[in-house]
Amino acid sequence: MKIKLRGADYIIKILELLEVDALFAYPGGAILPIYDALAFSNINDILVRHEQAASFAANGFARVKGKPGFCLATSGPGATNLVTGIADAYADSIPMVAITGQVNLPLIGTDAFQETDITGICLPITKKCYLLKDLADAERIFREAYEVAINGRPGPVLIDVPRSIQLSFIDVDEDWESKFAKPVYTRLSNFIEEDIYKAARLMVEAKKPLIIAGHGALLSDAWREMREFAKREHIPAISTILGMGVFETHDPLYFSWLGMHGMKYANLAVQEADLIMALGIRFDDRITGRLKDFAPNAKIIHCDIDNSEEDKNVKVAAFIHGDLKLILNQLPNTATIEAMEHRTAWVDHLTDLRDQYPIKSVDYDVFNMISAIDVLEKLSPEDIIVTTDVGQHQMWASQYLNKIHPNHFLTSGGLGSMGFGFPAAMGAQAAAPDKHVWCITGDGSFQMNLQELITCVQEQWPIKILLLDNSYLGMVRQWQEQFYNKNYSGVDILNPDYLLLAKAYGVSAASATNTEELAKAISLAYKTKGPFLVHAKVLKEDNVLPMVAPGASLSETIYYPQDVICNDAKLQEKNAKKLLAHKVQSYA
Amino acid sequence: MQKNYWRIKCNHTPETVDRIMLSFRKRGLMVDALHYKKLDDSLAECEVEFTEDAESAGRIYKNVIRLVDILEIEVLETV
Repeated sequence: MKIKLRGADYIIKILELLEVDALFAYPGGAILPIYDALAFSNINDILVRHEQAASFAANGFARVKGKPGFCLATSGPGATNLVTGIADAYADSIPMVAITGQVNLPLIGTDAFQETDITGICLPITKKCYLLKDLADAERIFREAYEVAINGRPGPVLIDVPRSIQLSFIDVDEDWESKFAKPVYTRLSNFIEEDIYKAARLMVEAKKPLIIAGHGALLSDAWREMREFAKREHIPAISTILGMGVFETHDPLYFSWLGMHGMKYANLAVQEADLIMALGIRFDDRITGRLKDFAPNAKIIHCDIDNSEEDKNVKVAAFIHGDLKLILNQLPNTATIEAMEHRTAWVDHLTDLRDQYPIKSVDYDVFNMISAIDVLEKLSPEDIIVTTDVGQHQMWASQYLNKIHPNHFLTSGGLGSMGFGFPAAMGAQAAAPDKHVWCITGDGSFQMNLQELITCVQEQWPIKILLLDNSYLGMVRQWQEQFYNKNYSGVDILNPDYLLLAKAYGVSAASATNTEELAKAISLAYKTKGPFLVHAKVLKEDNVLPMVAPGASLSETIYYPQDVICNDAKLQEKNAKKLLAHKVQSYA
Repeated sequence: MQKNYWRIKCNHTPETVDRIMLSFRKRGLMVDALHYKKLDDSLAECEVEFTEDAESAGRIYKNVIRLVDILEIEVLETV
């Protein structure tokens, strides 16, 4: 027996069968039939205030939930507003399905009102785009798009649905829903025994092996295997920024993250290693520094799900193509007595390097971004989710947050999109309603998507925002100071009165000009049921260090000036005393 | 500079040619010749001829093999 379904209802039913539980969306003319169907669906459609926020939120949702994020917009400007978030997802390999309305099929190509070639626009920033021309293809296309998004190297896909298709009708079997098969993630093992053997030989021969853990380890849910592997083999590890959370920060084998603002000891570890095990990384220029001088003494084993990464930026001695979880389970135990002697000496050496080049000490008497981030962490529980925007605060958050759990630190790594943090926090909160979600942002980035404050109010999301306001586009200013002779141009940013702004949106807020006030504000934020904006007016001029200057080698990592205090236990004690009063039940 | 001749087996979709060409266009490059032929409802074959040095050709290759609808690239000749 056949039943007749309207296109829009059919598509929404397909989304339900794909178990879409959150749809970040904004309506408009060419998507109205879908909205009509949504009114009768159990899908939670979240009305953002700008489509860019929808695609960033879908990104945040996907990272936390471990399944594709969905966003929806109308044709033309609605669709183009999604683009930055789609590009961001492509750069960071985030599974996402973007659905756009399109003008009626016969109107495509006539420069119709709100017509834009969104599939063409998105070609370079998606794994695949679809224009749905026949409703009979809808089920196949949506299933395939979902499958493409999650399988292999994850990424965004786009489905463009003309309004006339949404309004057309289809006859389907009465029991079509029970026959619907939701695509599943298939772990790829394109490697052979010889690849594993080759890698094992290199491990046996190495005296100074080093793991670099990337985002791939989180995407393939291989972080447990990675920790066990490092422990079993006694091989020290560092990570990329997107790989934060793969290892526990306090794991004695973990030596923080590398790259442009990575720890000097992590960068030096790369330069001294004789074997790099690159696990789920893509050798971005921000982590390699000057490519020809990257890891000059090391042979490289590269494990990745995407074979186009083989020898792409860095020549490798062995490439293992497949899912990291499967690869790690296959790599044999090479921890012989001899190997353990070498590896123990190597770990000891790296520990010495860490002692020699520690991170700058936090001083609560100076109210800068570092002390603000540190106060937040000290007053927060173990498993908060943190999103960041892009700029100095992003680097300092990466450097100073120590409680990061896997998939709990969301940042725009590859594309570096300002405006990412707040909507990504919305996605994270939708994915994990019971978790504390904080967005650490700067005054430049926050102004790119602050309209979403009202979305949080409407959705009753208790997202907390730590707005680090230095009245500068700080990272750009830093580069102008360091590389453009302090010729400050376009960086002096005027800010609104954030407390009044929050009030206008119905969001609770507090300001802080020192660490004590900040501690009080954070405590209040935790006690407040709804969203909360903490406006921290921090030191205006400050530079992120360590730093590898553009075009320089990791060996040339700039460390702090001599007068900067590092690793000062007394300072830590003093800071702790200052916080004591506020730590009590701040997040109960 | 060298002449590169490739045969690309691919899925026949509305965007496949665009995506292959994208790997050239995004680096400001262009092919010397392009021949795309549908083999059946789902498969196609695309032959490209272009003049670039080995390094550029290598990077284009990486970009093309990343595409979902590319099944195989056969390097026919390099002159």
